[in-house]
Amino acid sequence: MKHYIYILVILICSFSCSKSDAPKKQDTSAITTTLVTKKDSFTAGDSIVLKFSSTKENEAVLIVKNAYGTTVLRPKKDKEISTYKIPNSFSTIANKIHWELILSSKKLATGSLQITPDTTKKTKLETYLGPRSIIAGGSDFSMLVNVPTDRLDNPMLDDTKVAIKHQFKKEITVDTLKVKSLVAWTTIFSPKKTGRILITSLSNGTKSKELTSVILPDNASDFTIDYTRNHKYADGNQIITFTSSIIKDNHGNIVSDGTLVLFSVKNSSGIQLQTNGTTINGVAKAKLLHPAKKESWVVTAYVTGAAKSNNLPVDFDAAIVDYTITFSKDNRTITIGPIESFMQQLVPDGLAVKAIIYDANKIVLNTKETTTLKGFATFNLDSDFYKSNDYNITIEAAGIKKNKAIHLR
Amino acid sequence: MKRTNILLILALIIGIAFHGSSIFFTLENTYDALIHLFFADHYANSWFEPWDFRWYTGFTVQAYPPLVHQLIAILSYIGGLKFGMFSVALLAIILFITGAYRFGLLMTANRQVAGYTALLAVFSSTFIETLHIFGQLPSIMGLSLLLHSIPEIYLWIKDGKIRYLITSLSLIAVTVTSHHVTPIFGMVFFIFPLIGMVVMDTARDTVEKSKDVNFKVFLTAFKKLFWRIVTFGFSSLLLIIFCILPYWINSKKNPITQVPIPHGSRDNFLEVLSSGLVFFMIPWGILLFILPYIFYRFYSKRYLFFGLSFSMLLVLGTGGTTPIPLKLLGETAFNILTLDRFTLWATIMALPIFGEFAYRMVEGDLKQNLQKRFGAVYHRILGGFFMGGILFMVIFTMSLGYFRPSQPAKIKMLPIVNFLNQDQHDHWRYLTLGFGDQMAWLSAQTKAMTVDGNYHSARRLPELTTRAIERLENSKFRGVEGIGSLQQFLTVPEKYNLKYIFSNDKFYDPILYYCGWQRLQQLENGIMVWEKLNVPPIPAIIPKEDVSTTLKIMWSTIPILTILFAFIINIQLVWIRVLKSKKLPEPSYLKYKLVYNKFSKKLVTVNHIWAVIVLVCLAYGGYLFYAKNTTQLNAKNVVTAYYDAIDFKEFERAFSYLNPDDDVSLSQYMLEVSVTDGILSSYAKLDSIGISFVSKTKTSARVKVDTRWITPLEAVNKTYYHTVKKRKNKWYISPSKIDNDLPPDQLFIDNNTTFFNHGRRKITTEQTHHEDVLKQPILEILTAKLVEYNGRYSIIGQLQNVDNVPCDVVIKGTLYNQKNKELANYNAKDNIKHKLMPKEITSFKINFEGIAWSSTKDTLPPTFNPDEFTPINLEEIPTKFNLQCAGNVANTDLYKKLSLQELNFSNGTMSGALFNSGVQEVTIPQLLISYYDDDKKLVWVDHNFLTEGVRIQRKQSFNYDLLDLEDLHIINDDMTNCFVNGSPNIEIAKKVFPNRKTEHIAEQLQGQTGKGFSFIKLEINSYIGNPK
Repeated sequence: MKHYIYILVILICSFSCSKSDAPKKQDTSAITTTLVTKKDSFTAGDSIVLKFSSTKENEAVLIVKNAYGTTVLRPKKDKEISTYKIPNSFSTIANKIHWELILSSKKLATGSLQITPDTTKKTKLETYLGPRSIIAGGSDFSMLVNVPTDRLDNPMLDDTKVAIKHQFKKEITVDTLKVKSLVAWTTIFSPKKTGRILITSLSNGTKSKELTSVILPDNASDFTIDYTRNHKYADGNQIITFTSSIIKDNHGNIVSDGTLVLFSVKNSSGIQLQTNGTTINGVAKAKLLHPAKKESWVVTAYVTGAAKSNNLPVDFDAAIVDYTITFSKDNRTITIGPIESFMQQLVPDGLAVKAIIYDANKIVLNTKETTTLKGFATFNLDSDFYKSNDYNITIEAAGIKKNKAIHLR
Repeated sequence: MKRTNILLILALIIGIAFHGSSIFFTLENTYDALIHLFFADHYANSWFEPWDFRWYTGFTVQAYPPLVHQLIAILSYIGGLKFGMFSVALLAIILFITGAYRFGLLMTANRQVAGYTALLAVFSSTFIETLHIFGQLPSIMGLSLLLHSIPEIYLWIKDGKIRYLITSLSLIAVTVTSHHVTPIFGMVFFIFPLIGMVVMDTARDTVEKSKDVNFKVFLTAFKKLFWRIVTFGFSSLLLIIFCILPYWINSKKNPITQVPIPHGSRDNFLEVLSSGLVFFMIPWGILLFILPYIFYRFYSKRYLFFGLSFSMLLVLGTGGTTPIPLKLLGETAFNILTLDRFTLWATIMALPIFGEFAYRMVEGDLKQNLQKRFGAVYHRILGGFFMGGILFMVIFTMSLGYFRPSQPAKIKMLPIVNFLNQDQHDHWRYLTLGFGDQMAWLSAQTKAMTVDGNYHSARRLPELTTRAIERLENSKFRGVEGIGSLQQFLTVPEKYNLKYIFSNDKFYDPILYYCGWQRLQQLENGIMVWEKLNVPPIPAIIPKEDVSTTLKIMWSTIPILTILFAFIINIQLVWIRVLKSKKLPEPSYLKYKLVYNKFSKKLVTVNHIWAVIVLVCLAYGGYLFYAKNTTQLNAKNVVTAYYDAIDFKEFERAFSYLNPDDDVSLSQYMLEVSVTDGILSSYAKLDSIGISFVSKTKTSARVKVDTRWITPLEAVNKTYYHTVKKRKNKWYISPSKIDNDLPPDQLFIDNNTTFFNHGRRKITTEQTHHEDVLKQPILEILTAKLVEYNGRYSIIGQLQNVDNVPCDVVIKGTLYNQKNKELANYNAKDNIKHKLMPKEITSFKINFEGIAWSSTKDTLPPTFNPDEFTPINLEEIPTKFNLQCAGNVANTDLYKKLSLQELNFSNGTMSGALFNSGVQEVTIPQLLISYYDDDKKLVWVDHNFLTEGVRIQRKQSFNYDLLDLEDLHIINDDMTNCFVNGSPNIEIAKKVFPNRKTEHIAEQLQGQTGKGFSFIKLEINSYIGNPK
């Protein structure tokens, strides 16, 4: 029972503490108000005060709306005159303001104000340009958007003039745009040549910063290729370099540095080898080793999808005409060489030599590969692997195949 | 008034001096200490908020009892996190030594013996290992407090004074909040036997001689104490539940449904010797020699229940060596618990008995017995042996972390922390690779988040929980699952807002490169930063699992309150005990003092025999170790040793196994080694090696070595042949031949185009300026189709960089069914060239990977395969696809100088050679092979990594088996849903390449008819390990 009393006391206390916020009802029927302030058009940044006179002192509130939001203002009263100051957050925005004077849910008066941008003071200019790189040739373009604003960031009214200038090579073009629906915009189409267009705009004495649009070359057009090499022999060691002519697009611009050129090399067996070059000043270079045997290559280069070169035939003469094979006593060590190159010099180290070992029934047992050292290559047929028997062996070096039948002891 | 126990004081002084100074050199290199530091950092920054965003895309710290972390956090306000950690470690050391003393005193009722116990506790190898190698601070803290609570529990049950109930419960509460497992298992293994001992003592009081205690007497005593036991049992159970209630609720909500993580303590110690050493030999240490004595004492009537508990702990601690632990614990518990804690408890439990042994050995009846039987000299020698043994174990255990560091060398974190703070880098997640447990220290120092984490029970992403990996960070040690998980994070980093990777291990470099990552910079501490383009930043609001405010408040206040409470009610007693300010009544357990006057003769004999057996086993083990590790004892050993040396890049050692008769000098050998590069020689870890003899004589052999190498990209099997020869009783390997190829030019000149992107040109903290953002390069998708091959669905195609700048490519493919329901999405991984020069073309393939093994949890493949692919489990058949390509300006990894020098086809095999015509050494070349049908339409894309690198101006041969594509089906080749940088591909094709000459691609194809295809095309991608 005691508890209930406590609870009751606490409840009573808590109720008595709370203050009623319900507004006092006022009789609204007898009140009429008139707007004293006659001006309804302002410049952004002006101080805006609305005065109302009414027949009776009241607590009417002014509801103010613009595109950004709504607020409720309470008056400053001097007998029957109520004064409402529009806050800065509303008065600095060029916009239309609607207002309503409300007393106890009843509209006493409504109206609107027009705030226009402040054209008297210095204009600010926002500019956007994009994309910042375009393709030469006249079909690609950058778009320039200017938003001239007043000092309070209100976009200027339509038909405000914006002068734009753009420079390309020796030429400087001047143009005038007019603001329409808050912005003044234009497209700047690419010229035929590569380079960069510098763009600036000017409005009401304010200059924008320098904007840049880079003109990049268009797709490549067909080109020619050539090659350089030290000698015509297929020694498997020297390097042949393929070089393209200066690759240009259809407008005569050199293609971008780094453009990939694929050199496709068709050899005499119809196999396509390939090497890549990336262009520097339009010239792509690609390298391959000389083949190790007599070959006829046909080289074609591609900027795939866009351009292609001539077909370039490249022939290699055999550097190694023949070689000798010697066997050790037990036939287990096979020495190939001395292998001589085109001037009877020893072939440079590293020529690949292959030995295919067959059993007597021509079934492949093993393929061994080695490289030459000082003109010689040797193979060891280990007695652990190759029991004493008859074998056939094929040696292949520099495209020359030799078959031998041997007996291993 | 009794004298202060000198031995205890000595133990404390030595303990604090020895452990207290060495923790500064060991603790930071332990497995766990830095993790606790990270948790502490969490509490230091947000005491009341249990959610931490920094790990695992968010996790709750309520997954681990908070006391130790909160203590460190409080202390960190004074002197920083590390100060807090070391202070708490010191506190734990003191608590442990005094705890051991009190436990010893309770057990033996002899202050001298208790003193010996405390002294031995200081040097116990199990304590040293737990503290200095594992760094398990909460576990030590919990155990020490449990030891402190045991005498109080004894006194409550024995005497029934409420004061002791309160003290014991207060200590139990602190134990619970510092470590959850300790009180739960402590109940079973320490408190149950303790209750048994109390009952036994009470029963003893009722009879004259201890022999008269029989079951009936025991039962009567038990009945008498029953309600005290129940009171204690229930209140401690309540405390265990209440004190860390949020932990239990969290465990219920997020049950550990993860695949168990392998732990060495579950191994068969006879098979995995290293685990046996760490989890059995070291903790037991010298105790092994006196096991018979320990058993003898524990199985005396008073200690009977401790004896049972001890035996159980001993067996459980043997892990997978015997099948008993698995059967006792059941599959689930066996796989979740780390069994080393049982060994820890067993060795701690044995400490008082060891103390007693030491006492009797040094000044008691054992000394007399030995001197009488074997003479004084023998006693001294034996004493020396024990002392030596203890010291050996101490030094051996302490040095383990020095000679076999468990962690990578200490990394300076400041440059990384600075990097993350710069330029809004912490707006993305990061990942560390090869940091070890130091990643926790990095996380503690930064607000930036990582997808990884270091407390595996809190993992949340299914990509992690379904694999047995602790961290992505060390995924290379976790085989398939590790690399598999990592690859998913690397391939689809957008999903996790993962943009930066800090790599301390170049092993991961190739996989990073082939997943489309690029090197950003090397920090001054040598850590390489990798970045991925086209990853959006972390959204401002990220989800978290909230818990009720009550739980939050409980979690943040109870632990500290328990410690305050325990302090307040225990301090008085401690004060009196230490300063002897007041005479205290003798605790009742001191009544059961044993008189050590006759050491059993038989026991001495038995223990001697046992010691000999242990010594013989050790010697045999040592011999096995020697025979296995003596490298040149036989042909097999030398080959194994050679590959081991190669694997660990110890080339000088490898050279020492080469036959000196073959006249290869060390410098020549090193030169040859230094010029070989490639995935095998630079990024591979030897996984297994099989040695078989082709032929064998007494002094020589031809050996076939089948090796399996794990590389970050794929597993490589390679067979080598070696000739081994015996020379002067040692076996040697004959060195193999080298490539004689000689490049034509000495000086080599090459021109290249290089690119640089400023990022932001103005130094400002603002967002990057509009005009500094580069236009995304334009790509064009030339073909794309959805195909099904071998039951898997892939999107294949070709795309070209049609812009004028180099481009980094990210492609995301999404599969839909006929009703436009999304089935899966994934990114192109390594079947693509991620970096394209202007006008370069790449083929690509998107495989749809599922979360590996999510459905086949229990059939994890036994061996490692990093290239393991888990096809996604699609609910329905995909019929449509969507491709989203994004290009970003690339300025690195643009090496295009690998050429196809030779090519041959025979019997379905393609062989050839690549030629490196540029000035960078290509470490891992990759071939992209695309297949075309009769109409030269793309049907499939495949890839092949070359195992050896291509040096400058040199060739490297390759072999590749062409695929059988006969059962390949093209499901859809409609390209309407292909988008580039968000714009439709068709529009781009029309605008940028209006007059495309489609015949160019057709002309570049290689005519080669095979199964299911008529043409192929080769593209070459090159990874450069060390760009110059």
